Amino acid sequence: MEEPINANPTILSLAQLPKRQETGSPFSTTLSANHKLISNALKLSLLEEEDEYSEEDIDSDEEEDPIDPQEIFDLISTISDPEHPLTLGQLAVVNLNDIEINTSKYLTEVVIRITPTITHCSLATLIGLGIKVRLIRSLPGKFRVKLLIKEGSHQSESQVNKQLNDKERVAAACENEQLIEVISRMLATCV
Amino acid sequence: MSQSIHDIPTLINQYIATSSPSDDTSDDASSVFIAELVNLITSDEITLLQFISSLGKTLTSDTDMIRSKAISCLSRVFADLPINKLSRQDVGVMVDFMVVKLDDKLSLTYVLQALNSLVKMNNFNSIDKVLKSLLDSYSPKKNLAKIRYETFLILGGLLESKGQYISTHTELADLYVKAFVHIASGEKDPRNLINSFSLNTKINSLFTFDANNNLHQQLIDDLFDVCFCYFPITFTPPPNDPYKITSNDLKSALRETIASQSLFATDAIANLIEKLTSTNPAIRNDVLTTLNLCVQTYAPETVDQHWVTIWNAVKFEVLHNTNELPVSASKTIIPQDYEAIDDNDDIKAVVLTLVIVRNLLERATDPQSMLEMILHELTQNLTTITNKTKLAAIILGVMAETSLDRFNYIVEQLFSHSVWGKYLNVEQTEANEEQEEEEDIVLNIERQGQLVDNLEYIFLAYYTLAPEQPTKLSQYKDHILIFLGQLLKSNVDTSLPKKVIAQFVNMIGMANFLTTQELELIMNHFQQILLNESTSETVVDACVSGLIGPLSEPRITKLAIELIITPLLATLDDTSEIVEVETRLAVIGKLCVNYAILEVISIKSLARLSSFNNLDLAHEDKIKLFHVVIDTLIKLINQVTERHQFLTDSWYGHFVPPFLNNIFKLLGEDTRDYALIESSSRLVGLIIRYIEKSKHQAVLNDFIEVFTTEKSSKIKLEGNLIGQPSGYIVMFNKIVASIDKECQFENLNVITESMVGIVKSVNNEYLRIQYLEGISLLVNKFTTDVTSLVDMSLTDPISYEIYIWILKGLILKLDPVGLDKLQQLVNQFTSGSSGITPKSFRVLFIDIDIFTETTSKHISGVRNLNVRLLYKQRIFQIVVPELLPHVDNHNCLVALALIIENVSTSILIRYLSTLGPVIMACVNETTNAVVLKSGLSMINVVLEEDDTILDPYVTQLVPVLLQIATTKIVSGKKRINDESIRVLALRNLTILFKKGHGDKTQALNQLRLCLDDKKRSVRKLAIDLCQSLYELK
Repeated sequence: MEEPINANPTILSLAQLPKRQETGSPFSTTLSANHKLISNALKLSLLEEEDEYSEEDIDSDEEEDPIDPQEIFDLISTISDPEHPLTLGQLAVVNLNDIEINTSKYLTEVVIRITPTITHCSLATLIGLGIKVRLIRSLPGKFRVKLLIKEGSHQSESQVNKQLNDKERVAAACENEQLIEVISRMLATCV
Repeated sequence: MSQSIHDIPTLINQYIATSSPSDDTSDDASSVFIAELVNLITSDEITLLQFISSLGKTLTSDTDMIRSKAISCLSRVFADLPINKLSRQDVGVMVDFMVVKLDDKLSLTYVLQALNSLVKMNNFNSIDKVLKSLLDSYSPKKNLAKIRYETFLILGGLLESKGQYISTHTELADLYVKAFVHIASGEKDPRNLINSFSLNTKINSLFTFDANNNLHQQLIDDLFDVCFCYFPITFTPPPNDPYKITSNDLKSALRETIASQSLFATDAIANLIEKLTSTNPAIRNDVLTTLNLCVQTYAPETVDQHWVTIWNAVKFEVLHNTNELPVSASKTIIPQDYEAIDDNDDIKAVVLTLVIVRNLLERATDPQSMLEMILHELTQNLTTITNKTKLAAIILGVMAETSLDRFNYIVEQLFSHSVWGKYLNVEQTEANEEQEEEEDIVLNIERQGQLVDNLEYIFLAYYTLAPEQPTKLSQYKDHILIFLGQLLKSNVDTSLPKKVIAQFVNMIGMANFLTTQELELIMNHFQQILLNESTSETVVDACVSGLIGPLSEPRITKLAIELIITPLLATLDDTSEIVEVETRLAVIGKLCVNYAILEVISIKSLARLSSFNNLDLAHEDKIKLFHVVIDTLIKLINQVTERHQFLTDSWYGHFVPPFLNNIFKLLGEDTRDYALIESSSRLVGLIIRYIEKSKHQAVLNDFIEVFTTEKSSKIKLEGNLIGQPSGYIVMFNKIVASIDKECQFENLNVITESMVGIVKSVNNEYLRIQYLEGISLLVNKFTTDVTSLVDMSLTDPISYEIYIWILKGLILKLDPVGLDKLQQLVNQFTSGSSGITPKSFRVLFIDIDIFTETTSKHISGVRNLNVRLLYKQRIFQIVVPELLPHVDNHNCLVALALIIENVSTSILIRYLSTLGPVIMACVNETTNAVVLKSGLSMINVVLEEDDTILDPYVTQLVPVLLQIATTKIVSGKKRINDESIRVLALRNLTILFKKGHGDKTQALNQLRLCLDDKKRSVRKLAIDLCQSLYELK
């Protein structure tokens, strides 16, 4: 096997990765506790038809969980590094703070800045392509993904940036069977 | 007597003809003839001479096979003869005969077997002859392992029967050793090696060797070579190994042999140490284990002679170690199960070395000088704190735990001013005061932390010794306490305080060490940590989790209540911030390890509840605060009961009345804060279940009075439940549910009637259900005459509802009348009787907490539930088979869905094969969320258990599931496929695709719709499913 380009990367343990915080203390919602008790009890009523009392009617249009940077991070942090048996999250190639979401009326742009483990990492484009494929497959159609190398973390920053955001080149790369096979291997750890 | 029996030549010939050339003599036909021959000789019907002369010609036959069979016959007869049968002369003659035959290659096995039998005989006295001829006429290298095995048996037999005699006759002993070395040289067979090692060990323990005798010196060398040449032994048993010898058997046999002879020491130790340079961890551990055995078994003077060599060789295993010692739960430096550590774990060598050092010290005749030398050598590692200090401290700890004297000596040296004392501000002794103090004794934080950590090894040694008298360590405890206390104050980062806390906790646990004042000092430190709001969370955690261990000791409990729990509880008074109260209670809660602490907490919480009540706060906030306190108490009661059961009899007197009065005061008479009633009822119910059974009748009577009459008692509830509808019915239900089922309920009929009346009149739906539950509970637990209750009325919906709840109470205890009525109900339902709604079945099958909350096997002896085991299975069997044929009927389908929603998979599994049509009917039912959900959960169960049932439907099922997952199904104003339904559909799809069903490309296209789903959980599942579909492609 070839000598890895970066043999000794810094590794974060899984516990150190940012996670979605559970929101809401149970006590902030005594009202809803009451509500829940009542609606549970009413399920047992034989007198009324379910639809009539149902207060869920009001919020029948469900509350929306918007796609946020944490969700994007969860999607891409589990991608495997092509040369280490570790994920991009563990290697801190992707960081929660470096994910930005800009919403406009019709389109939503996701900007991700990746930090290669070393400044001359020749695999940066491959990693970027992997992230791109993962997000194209996982995000709704109105999302546009922009991948950038974090400022000052790579020798040929602008070249890589150009390559990663060139639609034609990405499309061409995805035609390359060998390349897609490598990327599938990187994405296999995402489930 | 028949002629044939006396016909010896015939017997012999028959033997020769039948015996097989194989060595398996156990059950071939020839055994019969041997047995007869033995019998004849034993009963003196023939003499040995007659037998031999009959064998005569064959014994000297020129045909190899006949000759060897004749000797085999002889040898097998010898083997079976009683050992006192043959005369001294007989034995002598036979030995002579056999040793001559040693050069007869084909008969050799039998000759050796015969000799083996002969040496065990009482009249055998030709030891030297046998040994000499083995030495001269037998060559192990020319023979197979099987034959060599026999020679080990002969020597073994000799040692067993004549060992004592041989050991007292030096020449014979020497000869024996020579013969042993002769037969054991070059041995390779594992079975023979086991014998060789065991004989070698026996020789070493039985015979005495004179170290000054040249011959003996030579013999010892030979004995050593014949075993040590195998070290380190490795062996992989072949498959089908008949002898079942393991590599470990060989290793330990060899180890014992090496350790069995003190005279081996010089060679053995030098050679072992040489092998220590190996890079293979298994070999090094083998060497260390063997060295340890040698240290344990060699004569003390031998150990004295070699300990310096051993120490010098092994010390680097510890001193160069960079790994952490395994954490031991038993508070010992060397883990008790250290032998079980894997060979590949680097720490094993360290631990083994520590064991050797400990044993060296215990075996030495002058341990003090050894101690002094080692200490002297380690001092340079100790005086200045470096990474090596820890390793030296570990060695000292292990040495200290061998005896109290040594512990005292080490402590004295270690804490003297010149070593650790200077860091701890130990005064210099006068003699040393003259010396100029040049070195910098201020430690940086890292070094301080290391010094704190290193104290632990001395503390652990203290734990092992568990001294009953004060030790030298007591002289320094003030210094240690002050030193640690100062470090705690000057905290910069969190790691140092955590280390200090760990050592404080160790000190608390040390028996006969700290005085009460000193414990108080530590507790005060902890108090400051816990009360200081700027303390970081990890330090608080370290403090709390460290305290939990020693806290269960009564003395510590008492101090902790006074110095930690009470002050912490007092902080509750300064705040009515909900989050703050919650976090403080959580910390206190963790420390609640026994009843004494729980009681303090409960009293304080109660007081706090009434003060919350009087505060000028929003009603809503008060409710939240009550919730926090009540939930904490419920949690703590469960937490303490898990460790140690207790009775709450006294709580009934001093806790329950004020608690309830507080609740009543806060909520008032006509409350709608049902959630708080629910929580407080759970707490009261819990307390009641822990009251002793004999008191339950009185408790029940009290509460009946409180809730159903206007009489005033300690518990002041305005109004009553049966006069007008009240939210406190929930509390009444929970209390009655917690009462032992053998109690009697006074005025049952009157109260039930009143409750029925309220159900009929009340406008509040929630309250009506609660009253219905109450009626059901009373019927279940207390009603004896059920016939009058069960009259179904289909005309009046409320009466029908009451009937269903009464029926629920009955079927829970599998009452026969109830089961009859259930059957009737189902029959009427399937025949389409109007008035019976499918929802009745949800009521009958649902679990509600008044019928499930219980406390198993508690010392209170209370059994509060009157619910039969497996009742649900029974009613499932009555109802479901009736409904199954009617799935095309919408009502029946809904009923089935409602039942399946409320039964566990274990019940469902038995009906798997009939579920196919039901499932399809359910998933196509797009107007009713419950039905749809039941269908999806059934699919899940079926897929987990036996997916072949769904095979005929898969082609329809996958598109339907995709439809449910990706589109919005609306019925009326309501969305049918809510988040949970979409999630279930996606889960089922994932399983189906993994099993290879469905069209992947189409699914991938359709699932794109899910990527825009509003719910994160749905998106996540869809993305995961897509990812696995891409992989399957």
